[in-house]
Amino acid sequence: MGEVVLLSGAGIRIDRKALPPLYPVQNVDLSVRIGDRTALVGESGCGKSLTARLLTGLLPPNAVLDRGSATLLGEFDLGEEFPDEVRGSRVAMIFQDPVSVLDPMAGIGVQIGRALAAAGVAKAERRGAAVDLLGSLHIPDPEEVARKYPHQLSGGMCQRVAIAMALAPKPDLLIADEPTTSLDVTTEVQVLDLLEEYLDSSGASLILISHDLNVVDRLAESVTVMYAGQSVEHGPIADILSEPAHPYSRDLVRSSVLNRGEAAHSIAGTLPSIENVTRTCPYRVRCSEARSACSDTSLGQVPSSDGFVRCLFPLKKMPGAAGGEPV
Amino acid sequence: MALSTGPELDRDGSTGPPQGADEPASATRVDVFMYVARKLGSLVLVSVLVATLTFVVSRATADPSFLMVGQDATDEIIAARRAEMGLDQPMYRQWASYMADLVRGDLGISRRTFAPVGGEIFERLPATVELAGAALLLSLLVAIPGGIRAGLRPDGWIDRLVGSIAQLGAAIPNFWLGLMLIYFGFYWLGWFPAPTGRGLFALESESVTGIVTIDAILARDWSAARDSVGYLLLPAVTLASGVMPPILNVTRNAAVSVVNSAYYEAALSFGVPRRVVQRRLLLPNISAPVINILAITIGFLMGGAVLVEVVFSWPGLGSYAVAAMDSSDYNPVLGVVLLASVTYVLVYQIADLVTFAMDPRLRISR
Repeated sequence: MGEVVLLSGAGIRIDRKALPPLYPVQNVDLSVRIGDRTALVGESGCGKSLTARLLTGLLPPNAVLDRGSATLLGEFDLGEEFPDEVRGSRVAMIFQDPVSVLDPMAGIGVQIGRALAAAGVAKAERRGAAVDLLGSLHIPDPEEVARKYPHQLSGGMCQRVAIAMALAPKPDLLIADEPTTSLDVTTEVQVLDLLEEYLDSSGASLILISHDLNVVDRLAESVTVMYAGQSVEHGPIADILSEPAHPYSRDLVRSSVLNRGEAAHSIAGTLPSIENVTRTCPYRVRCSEARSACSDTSLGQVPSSDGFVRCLFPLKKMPGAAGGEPV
Repeated sequence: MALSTGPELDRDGSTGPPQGADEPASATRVDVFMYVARKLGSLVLVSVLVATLTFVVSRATADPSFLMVGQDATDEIIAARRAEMGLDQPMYRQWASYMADLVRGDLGISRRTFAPVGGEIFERLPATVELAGAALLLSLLVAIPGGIRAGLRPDGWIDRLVGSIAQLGAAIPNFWLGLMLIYFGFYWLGWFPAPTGRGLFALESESVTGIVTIDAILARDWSAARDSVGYLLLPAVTLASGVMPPILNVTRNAAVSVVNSAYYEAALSFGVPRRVVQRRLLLPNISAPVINILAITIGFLMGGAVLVEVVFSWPGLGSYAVAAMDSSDYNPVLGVVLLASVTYVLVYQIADLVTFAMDPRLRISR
């Protein structure tokens, strides 16, 4: 099958009651092969999380795949109804807020047991398997933790439990949506270690969604930069951090705390409206490199999956630069 | 942020938690005991307060002796009567003896029938319980599955359908719906008996529970059961139409918030099948608000559905209180009020206890 995930020109429309629809995801190209560890980065509101939900078939009921194509594991068209069994064993997700992700009414052991049941573990063995799983994630006193309820655990502990549930069915693709954003720094390191350990031992693919380039640098090999619902640049992490081709990538890297030597640089302006689909470059109003051609040339599809930049005037030559055509 | 790091790590990392981890069960048991004790205490307190209120009302409406002796009585007769009734005693004495009577189940004498009010209420209670139970059952059959289905797909066709039914039920006056059902069900179609109360006389065997339908089923007297259900159905539907909409709305909204919650989505993303998620995760998580509205509904129904009972000549507490009021007979009214209030508080406390027992966040402290 080659590609675990293949999005080409994918767009998501959200229908609203008595209001015009929104287009939070407009044009995303994403190609993830078996074993790839890739990251989606961008400001909040750029459509990262919605893209992740598209990949797990868990879009809100009023959201639909509106344009382009999206294929999961080479066989599932994400524009269609998504079979329940695929989740868990094939693709699993780790969420941003670990405390609200756990069922407040059920014990930890019971909850992990549900995920294990979905992975085909027999009823009698679930409790023991849940404890073993917690132990394998270096959780001290796993039996005690299995007896507890979510409200008795700290955020970091909840996240490890959630990771245990996501990893229980040994998914081929792990989607991690800001997995460490709500954790303190020490816990963050532990959680990232856990994820890395799983990826190393299982050979699973990772899609990491984050606005934190430190975390991305730690786990991912390649990066797709998103802006206003579009993937604007894709390439190896080292290239994008050191020599970005898209002006937005450059500004994003500059604004990140990654470059501790320099003063953090904030990008002026705000994200454009998502009430219409933009055919031209969405970044041009904030871009320091913008020229007059940027506002009247639409950006076409990007051919290459090894690396691309969707910009008329990239900062460096790329194999898959976007060919422009007049609007 | 930085300040919270210390204790967070302690809770995470340490193998021997400091706060009595070797005896978590006993600590919890004390909590539960205290909780139940507090509930019982407040039940007693509220009952005393309600009884005091009915006492005040019974003394404030009019001098009961006045009402009993009639207009032509001389001052001597009134004084004798007052002494006989204990009304010449100081207020606190009167209050104490009123309370003592209540504890013995003595709710006074009806001045219309000259029978003890306690006995009359006890006689009519099964009718109210039967009607209330049937109305509650009908409401639940519609509201719980309907509310959950509606909540699973907000704005879907089921949501719109049950939403319209609920709105209609809430908007149509109860007594009017009752009259319409009588008109069509009895007069026009002839499917239902005349609104003359319960199907009491069909039952040949002895009454066990006092609830005719259940008695008939227990005695396997199917024709009597059919008969009593015939009498019961129209008033029950009428009553249910009023109490069902709030239950439906609460269930639906609770289901919507669970379906939109992160833990619902997460459980699906971990591969837990949808039907397991709906049964094991949705149901417990909507239980608290649903139990709460059920308690309110039961409390309301046990007060006697006055209008519905009157329209269908149902011999329950509501029509009893109305008949008593018509002849300025206060003891029955106060008795019904007292019973309704205490039932209300009792049901409410039970609901609280059930919620407490179900929700680990309340039951187990951090």
